Amino acid sequence: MNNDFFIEIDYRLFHELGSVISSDVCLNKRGEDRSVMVLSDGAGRGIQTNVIASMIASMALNYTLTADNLLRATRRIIETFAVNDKFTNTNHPSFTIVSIDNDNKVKIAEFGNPDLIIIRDGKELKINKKRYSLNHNKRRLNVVISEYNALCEDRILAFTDGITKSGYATYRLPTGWGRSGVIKLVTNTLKQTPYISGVELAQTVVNNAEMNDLFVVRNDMCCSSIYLRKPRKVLVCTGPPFKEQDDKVMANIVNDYDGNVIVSGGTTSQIISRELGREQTIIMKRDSSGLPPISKIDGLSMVTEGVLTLNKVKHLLESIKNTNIKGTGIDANFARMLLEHDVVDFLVGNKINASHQDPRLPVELELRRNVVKDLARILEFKFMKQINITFI
Amino acid sequence: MERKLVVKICTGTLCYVTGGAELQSIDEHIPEHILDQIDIIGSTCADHEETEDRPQPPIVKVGDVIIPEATIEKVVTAIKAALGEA
Repeated sequence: MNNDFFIEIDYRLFHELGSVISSDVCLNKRGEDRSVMVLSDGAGRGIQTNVIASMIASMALNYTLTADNLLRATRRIIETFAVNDKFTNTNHPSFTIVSIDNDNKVKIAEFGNPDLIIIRDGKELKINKKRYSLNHNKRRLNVVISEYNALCEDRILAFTDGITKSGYATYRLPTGWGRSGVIKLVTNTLKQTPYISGVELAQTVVNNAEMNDLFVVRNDMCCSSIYLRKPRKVLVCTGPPFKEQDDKVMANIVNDYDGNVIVSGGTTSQIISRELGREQTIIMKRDSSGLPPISKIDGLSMVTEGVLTLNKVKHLLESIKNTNIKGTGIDANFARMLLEHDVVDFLVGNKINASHQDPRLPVELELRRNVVKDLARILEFKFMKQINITFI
Repeated sequence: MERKLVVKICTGTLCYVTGGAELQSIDEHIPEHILDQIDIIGSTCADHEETEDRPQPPIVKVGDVIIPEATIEKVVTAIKAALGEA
């Protein structure tokens, strides 16, 4: 995991009108040593192109995560898929691989897709690129490999030709939007909203491409966006410490935390309130979620009940398909706050409340550690958050 | 200034799942003419959870009187008694 900054990787995709499946596939994964994003275009339409694009993306992702030679990975992929005459320089599946090492070195391999864009300080950053011509079955296929050192606030955007060709043959854009059009939009957007999230920037690009096509998308269009930024951190403190003498330690961790803090648990909030000498006020208001009421302690972002609330947040995060959470209940607010941050630190007290283990009580009163473990797994693997769990 | 009768409703997990959720709407069941004489507040119930002879949840405290296995009826009766309305 990169220690200097958080790497947000996300993408947005529009299908060609009338198509139920896309020929563009974007995959990303964080490994021990690096984070990798692959954008693959199966070239064409239909199930076959989606399968090809998915296989390329999957191969490239796993190869890059385990091995460190992008040129070799690219060569293997091309050799695997360049089996028929259709695979020429003008009509073939294309892909872009971006690998960001933990020491901030970015390695890029491009084959066929429009050149990706790197934005630094509101302008396009030009980097040295090495062009390789691979011979395969008497055909020459061009691969571009490049490297550079990333800085915080850098943005990397990769996209398929559906974006650059959008608007083609229209009155306004007779030759299509082009890469320069994308750069212009991105730099203008960043001038107005410099801290826009990666996913919102990708959405802005595909929305504009759709508009260029006069809202009748003529080619699958996908834009992936990488944003390297200072991590936004949130601490979830839940459960009383196993030893009473650690109450002070827990309260100090909460007090010194450099981010937002959620305290989840009645006894936990009492400990924090007592140790920090800050009054706790329970807000006696019935909530749409049916959960026990929240309370207020100065300096804390949110104070909720413990296991029931965590369980409900877990189920909510499990069920949603994207990060756009609707609703105003305690569970929705809690989940929204978790998703707004890049790093979620859990501080879990290990003391078990014996009365919660009464078999007559609802099953929702699970062991706190299990609920936190499940919640952390969902946040890490479904929402790509960086998770740290400390037991006390 | 006249001191109000404090009605403390436990909002802890255990009290909440054993019927305390209903007690959130206690203000709707208290006669209007005594509503301004009481102060309804929430509390966490850690004070009672750890003891052997703890009162059974849900717990409500009306003034200094602890009401175990509290229901809306029990609490309203206790409030009326405390205010001399019974």
